[in-house]
Amino acid sequence: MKKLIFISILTSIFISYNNLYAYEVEDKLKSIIVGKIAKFINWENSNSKEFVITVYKNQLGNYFNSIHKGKKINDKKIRIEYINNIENLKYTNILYISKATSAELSSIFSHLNQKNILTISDLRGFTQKGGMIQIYSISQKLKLNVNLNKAKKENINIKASLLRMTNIVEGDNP
Amino acid sequence: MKLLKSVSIISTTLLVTSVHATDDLDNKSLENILNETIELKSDIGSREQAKNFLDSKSPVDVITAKQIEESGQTKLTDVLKYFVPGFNTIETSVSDGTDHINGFTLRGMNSDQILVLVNGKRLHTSALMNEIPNISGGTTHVDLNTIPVVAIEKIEILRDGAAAQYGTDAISGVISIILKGQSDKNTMSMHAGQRKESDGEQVKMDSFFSVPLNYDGFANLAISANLQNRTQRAGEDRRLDPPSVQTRMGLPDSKNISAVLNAEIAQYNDNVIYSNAIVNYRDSESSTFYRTPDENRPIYPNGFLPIMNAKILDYSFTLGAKGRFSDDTQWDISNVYGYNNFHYYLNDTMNYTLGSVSPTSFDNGNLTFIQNTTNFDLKKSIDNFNLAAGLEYRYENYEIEAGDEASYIGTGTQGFSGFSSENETDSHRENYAAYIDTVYNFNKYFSIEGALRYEDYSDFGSTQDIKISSSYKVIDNLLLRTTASTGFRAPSLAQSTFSHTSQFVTNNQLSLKGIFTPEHAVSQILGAQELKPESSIHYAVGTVYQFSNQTSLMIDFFYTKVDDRILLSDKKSASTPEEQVIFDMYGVSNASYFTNAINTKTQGVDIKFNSEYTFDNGSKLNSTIWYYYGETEITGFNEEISLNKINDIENGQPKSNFRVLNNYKVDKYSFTLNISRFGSFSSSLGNGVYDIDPVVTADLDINYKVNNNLDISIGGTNIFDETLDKWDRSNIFLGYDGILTTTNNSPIGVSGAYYYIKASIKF
Repeated sequence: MKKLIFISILTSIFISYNNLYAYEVEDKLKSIIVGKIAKFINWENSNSKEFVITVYKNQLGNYFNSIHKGKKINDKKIRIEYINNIENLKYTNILYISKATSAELSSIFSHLNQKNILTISDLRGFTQKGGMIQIYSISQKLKLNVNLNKAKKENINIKASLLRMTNIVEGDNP
Repeated sequence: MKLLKSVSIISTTLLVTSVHATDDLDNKSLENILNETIELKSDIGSREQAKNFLDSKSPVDVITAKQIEESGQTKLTDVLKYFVPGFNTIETSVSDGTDHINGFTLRGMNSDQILVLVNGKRLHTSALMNEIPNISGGTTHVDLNTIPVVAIEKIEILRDGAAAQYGTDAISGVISIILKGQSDKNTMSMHAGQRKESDGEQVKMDSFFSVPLNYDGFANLAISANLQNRTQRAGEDRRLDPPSVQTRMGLPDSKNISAVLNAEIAQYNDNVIYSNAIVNYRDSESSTFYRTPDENRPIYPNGFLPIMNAKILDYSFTLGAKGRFSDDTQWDISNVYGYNNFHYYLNDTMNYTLGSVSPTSFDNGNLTFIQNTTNFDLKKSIDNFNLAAGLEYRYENYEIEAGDEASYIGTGTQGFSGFSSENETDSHRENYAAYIDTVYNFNKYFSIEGALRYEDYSDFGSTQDIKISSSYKVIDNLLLRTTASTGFRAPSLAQSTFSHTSQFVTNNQLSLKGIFTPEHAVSQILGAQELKPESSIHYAVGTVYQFSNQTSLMIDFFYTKVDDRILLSDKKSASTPEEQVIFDMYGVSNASYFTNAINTKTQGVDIKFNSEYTFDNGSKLNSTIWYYYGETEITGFNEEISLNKINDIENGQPKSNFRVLNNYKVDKYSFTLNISRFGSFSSSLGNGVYDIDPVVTADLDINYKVNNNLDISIGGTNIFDETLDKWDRSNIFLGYDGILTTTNNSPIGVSGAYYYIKASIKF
């Protein structure tokens, strides 16, 4: 039995030399996922030379900047904007809503109406309340909900390959 | 010591040689990123938002539903023993009600010095008073096995004093059980197994159903049913000619059914109504000592084995609501009603006083505990400052209801005399509490938390407790943490009001013996005083080093000083004329009572190493190595206690525990191997103290995923059938050649190897 313990300890020591993968920080993964999702959208042509991700009431630290700095989506350089008031929203492709009450969400959605902006959030019930893509976690895995009707209504064309990885949710006001 | 040295060397080696993880997430597909395992978060021990448990200011461990499933363990006490070396649990025999509710300790402290929360709310204790001296003797504690493991999302274990945050009982730690919430799979499983000795057959059926509701709400129902046949490990009864096995030693015959409802109904306006209900019913049978043949005895001239049948009903119901005010302050209001009834029945026995007209089945009375807790909590974050405050009101009621008169008149029921009308009580108390808890994060590296709690009890007055904790990240992956706190444990209502007396024939006369309330004249003449709360001081210093996000080392030292610990006194006879007068007045020959008997200090260390490695072929190995050492010393006496009791407190359970837990996943297979070493301890018996040697056990689970919906497993616990040393003396009842051949305080039980098969479907 002592040998068994010894072998187990040695095994553990061995694996510590070769760590490659990790338990990942949730906020970091969410920031990465936003960029990955963007690649599953058929973006309409625009004159802008930049791909803009705007973060509303950021709660994810500096991950958006550090992860997307110098990278491109749709052959356009990514720019990250941070706002705390929807009235300050300028041109953007994606609006990530990091924190908002339901009342704020209503106001935000009204403001975004027909502006061809993809909305993403990890807020509870986000897609059912009128958002397009929601990131949520179950059993230490991140998952995606998509309100497809809302996306279509806002002329956001989501590729089928993304829909295969998500749950389709009906919104309150499809 | 050698082990500690080895662990230190290994730890140092790892610190020097570990290779940091490569950040290649950016090159991964979205699908692969969605398959990444995110950090484990916990919110126990702090009023901040949930955060990575490795960044906690206090030592916290988290056991996930997946880990529980892979362990093959079927009872919550066994799950905790499997994963946490400082957690000890026992399975007793011939120990009255204790045979039916497993006692436990954490870091050497009693079962009632550990607070248990379900979804963040205090769980009520059992009504059972452990009358038998063992590691949970003299306590009323939570019956952890009322909660089916299939309903559990994760278990957070706070290894720290936290009475200043959560109130009474949180002296040595908090076990926080989080029920499954929003889920994507319904499950049904069946587990069947038996012991190597071809007894102890167990069949367990679990099911979990989840219904999604609006705005990520849910309604979950978990049902668990468990049938357990007894094991028999008793020795031969040498009073018989020829000697034969009669008394039962081992697991009881038990039927256990539980149901858990957990629901959150979310509103569009972000408010959430939440509720959970846990119901458990247990019907369990064990034996008392065999009564030898006596031809002059009516009914059972050829001898008889009294059977204790415990019927235990336990339930709790929680209803609450939470949300945010317009200024972003979080609010939470809730009420939890908890109920436990422990009903004693004795069968196949008799009352000698009633002779040939004695019944053979008795209702021996029942114990009931009710606890109702109402909480109102507020929490707000302003930049780097978190503030939480709350109020609590708790009502408790403890009741003893007498059994049939035939169960206690005269000599009472053989095996366990019924509770008499004189033992009856219906007592209650209330308490109010207010707390404030603040966290200030100076920067991303340094954080400090302070908590203050005031409690006022209707029976013994008020207490105030304080906790200060801090964490400092020396570098991104090296955390230092320290906590200091005061704490208390209110005497349980049972300890204040419990009595159980029965009559025995002494010098051809009936006389009363047993447990008397501290207020009883017999206790008072012996020096009993009104119980006061246990008070404690707890210090912890620790460090967490994360070699990578996947590999970590935690080292945490702790020191807990407890004054006025409440114990059941030794059995005392009258030793002065004044005492004899009172004893004669009540017809008593000896008595014991609850008293604030001793002061203790407990100190030790936990060293825990976690690692995960993914091989090139995609297979994955998870390893945990965890060493625990803790020792308790009595530092002062308010009342004399026996050497046996001193030994049981200081040496009655393993001081060191060691786990090596490995899980290897390859293709459709998952192999889980847990090796446990339980250090030496000693058990007192008569006038002797017997040393029990260390024991090493191995548990194995092999799982095969047939397809996405079906899993099958085979496995076993204590697969090499290790057993404890037998008593080191010859004695009819408790000896190496007696009826009970080893101690009831065995950390591995007495039933030996258990092998099982399990199948589960997800849909």
